[in-house]
This record gives sequence, C-alpha cells and structure tokens, in this order.
Amino acid sequence: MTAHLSTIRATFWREVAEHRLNRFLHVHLALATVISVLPLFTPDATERSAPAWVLQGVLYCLSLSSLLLGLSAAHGDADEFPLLFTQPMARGAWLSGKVMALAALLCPASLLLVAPTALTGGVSGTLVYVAAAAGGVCLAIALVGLAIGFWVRDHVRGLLLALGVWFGLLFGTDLVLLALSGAPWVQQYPTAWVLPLMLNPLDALRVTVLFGLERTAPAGIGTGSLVGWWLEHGGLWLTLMLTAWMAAGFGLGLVGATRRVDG
Amino acid sequence: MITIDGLTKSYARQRVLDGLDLEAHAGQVTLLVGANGTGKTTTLRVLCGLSAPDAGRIAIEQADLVTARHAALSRLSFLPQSPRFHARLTAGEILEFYARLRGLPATRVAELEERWDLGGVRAQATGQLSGGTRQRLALAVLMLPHAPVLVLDEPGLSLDPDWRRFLHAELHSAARRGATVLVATHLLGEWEGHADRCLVLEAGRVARELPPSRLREAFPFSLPQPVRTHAV
Repeated sequence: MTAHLSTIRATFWREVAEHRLNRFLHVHLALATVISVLPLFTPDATERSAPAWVLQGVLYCLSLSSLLLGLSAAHGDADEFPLLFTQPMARGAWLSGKVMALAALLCPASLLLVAPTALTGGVSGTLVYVAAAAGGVCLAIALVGLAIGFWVRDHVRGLLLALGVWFGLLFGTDLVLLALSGAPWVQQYPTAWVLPLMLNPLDALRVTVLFGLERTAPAGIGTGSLVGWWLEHGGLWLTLMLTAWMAAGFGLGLVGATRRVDG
Repeated sequence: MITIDGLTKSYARQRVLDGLDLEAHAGQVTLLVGANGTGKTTTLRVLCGLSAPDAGRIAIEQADLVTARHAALSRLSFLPQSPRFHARLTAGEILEFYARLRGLPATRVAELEERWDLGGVRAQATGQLSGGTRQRLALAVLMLPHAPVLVLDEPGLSLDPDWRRFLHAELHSAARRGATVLVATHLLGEWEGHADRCLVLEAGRVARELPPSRLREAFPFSLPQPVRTHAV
C-alpha cells in the first residue's frame, strides 16, 4: 500500500511538472478564463446566463482542449516506457497518479468558469452544479484522450483519431439520431433512440443543463418513462455515466500502455 | 544473480528466443554478445518485465519475475538502448522522479548529478540535451538505487571515450561490491579486458562462452577497421 502511495505521489508531481509548459493546458485555461467573464456582459442576467455560457464553452471548446491534453499526456511519456515500466511500481498506481494530476489541473479550470459570476452575484447551487458537471465532462474526455494516446503509437494518427472522436461525440451522434428519427422502428422503440444521447457525455451534459437546470420543455425527444427518469435525475445519471467513461478510459489506457510496451 | 531457464519468445510467427538458458553471477560483469537479430535486446526486455515470455522462468536474486514481480524489479535497474525521457522535464526532475519512486533521499540525487557531471544541465529540458548527456542521465538513473542487479543494453552508445572508460570503471566497481552486471553489446573491442564472462547468443540461445580477454580474436569483424588508401 505504501509503495502504491509513493508511486502515485511521485507520478502526480511529475505529471504536474510535465504540463507546466503544455500549450494545450495553457489554451484550456485561457478559454476557461474568457468563457468565465462572458456572463458579466449581460449584467441584467449574469447568474441566469452563466450555465448557458459554461455549457457552450464546454461543448465547443473545453471538451476539445481536454481531449488534446489527455492525448499529449500519453504521448509525452510513451518514449520513456522502457525505463518507467522496469521500475518496481504497479502500472495501475502509475496511471492513477497521472489521472489525479489531470484532475487537479482540470477541476480548478472548471471552478474558474463560474468564479466571476459567483464573485459578483454570490455562490448558488446552480453554479456549483454546472461547474462540477463541466469538470466531470472535461476529465472524462481527457481520459479518452489518454487512452487514445496509449493505443495509437503515431502522434499524427493519434491526433486525427482524437479529432474524429470529438466530432463524433459533438455532432456525430446527433446527426445519426436525426437521420434515424423518422424510421418506423424508432417510433416503435423510442428508448433505443434515446440511449445513445444518454451515453454520450456531451449530449448528456447538454440535455441535463438545458432540460434539467433551465427547465426547458423536452418537446423534441418524446416523454417516455426513460426520458422522464433521466430528466428527473439528470445529475445522478451524469455522475454515473461520467464515472463509467472515466473507468473505461482508465482501463483502456492501462491496457494500451501495456500493449504498447510489449508490442 | 540472474537465472533464466528455457526462455521462449515469439513476435508474430517469428521465434526470437528459443529455449534460452542463462546464468549471470553476482560479482561479475557478464557480456551478452551476438549479431543483430540474435535476440539480445529481446532477452533484456523479457528479463526486465517489459515483454511477457511465452515460456520459461526468470529469477532475479531468487525472486521470480512472474510470481514476485515487485520484489524482482526492486532488485533490478535497467538501462534501455537509446533511452529517451519526457522532452519537457528537466534532467533534475527526471532524477528526482526516479529517486521518489524508489524511496531514495534527495542527497542521492545530488550525489549522482555530481558523479555523472549533470549539475550544469540540471535545469535543462531533456529534449534539449545532446545524445551523450542524455545517455549519462540514463546511466545516473540506472545507478540511483544501488540495485544488486544491473542490466544494460548497449550502454556505450553516444558516450565519448572518456565517459566509456568511466562507465567500465563504475560497472566494475558495482561488481566488486557484489552486484550482478549484465551488458548486451556489439561493441566488443572496447569491452575486452573489462568483462568477466562473455556469452554468445545465436538463434535465440546461448551458443557458447568466450574468454573475455580474447574478444578481438573471436570477433575481428566487430573492430573498427583502419582506413586504407591506395596510391594512384
């Protein structure tokens, strides 16, 4: 146990040092700063507009910078694997240290997203909820980038795959579902149509914030029992689904790193 | 001591190691030599836990690499061929990281920095280091833990003659203190007189053992040939 803690601690500080000069992290923080001040330009409704700005910022900017941050975290270490993986450490503890460092870098950026609004109008439950959701989505997407980086040896191919995954999550699912929406079997099995939305972190965030926090009427996606449950328990579902994505990213990253060194 | 019994390893359909048996003893510098593709690097990669063997058993200081992996790896320190580091980390950060992993004090880092003349590049990113300096950094990482088993893959590459001599002296000194030193190399000429044993690898097995003082005779082709000029 002590050995695992030493590995996690050493890897955590190494990862933080690695990202000091990482341009993806700098871009991520700069975007978060810009997005955080945008609600202040609507002084009449700063607190009400903040969740919408955070949602758009995470969907179109921060999810991508998080993905690329995770990807670069994997690619940066890969050349050192022959030295790293002959140390007396568990690879799971090593990856845990990396993930904790990524969380320590991404979560403060999510707090930054709502900080100006909280400073001017006070902290509200909605702001905390939105910041936590943004942090969770960014971390889950960063772990996807980490897994891609460990599986795809070539940097350019890794970048292309990461961009493909991001487009798929942001637009791909929606476009496919839109194309299928008129099909007879969708009318027959609406749950099958809703499930991909629920399992996609970007769509789940969008639906949770728009329909859950903003109380927008869910006219577009029907009102089956599953949809009703989802909208009622948006926060719980988002937490469970993001945890599953993080666990999958962690597991795939671990297998990818092991496969890479024994390839 | 390193004990390898019946080690087999294939990549795709090509068998690289074919029932390899090897013993490297404490207090000795053992060379593992052979032509390209005979399995030197694969032997070291499997020995250090980077690749899983298809069959066979490896023990490092009596600790089985499969059933007692952590114990085996904590007794071993490995220098890979052409080592590379995270390009944004400094030489000092690399040494501190490996020292923390092994639970070593900061004074050990300072000691190694001085010994391998790395003080001047301590704050420099490893991506900016020359090949020779990077190799010295990797050798410093190798020497950090006082491991009883040292495994090195082509350690002399990128080093100038003075540092190669220093490396030989350091490995000898480690062996005299009781360490097991296993070196894979094809630069035989420069190891003549610096090793205690020399094992020749052929077709994925140890084919024979050579007297380490007569490497030049056994492998004349591996020596640098004088440049010949012809009168016109």
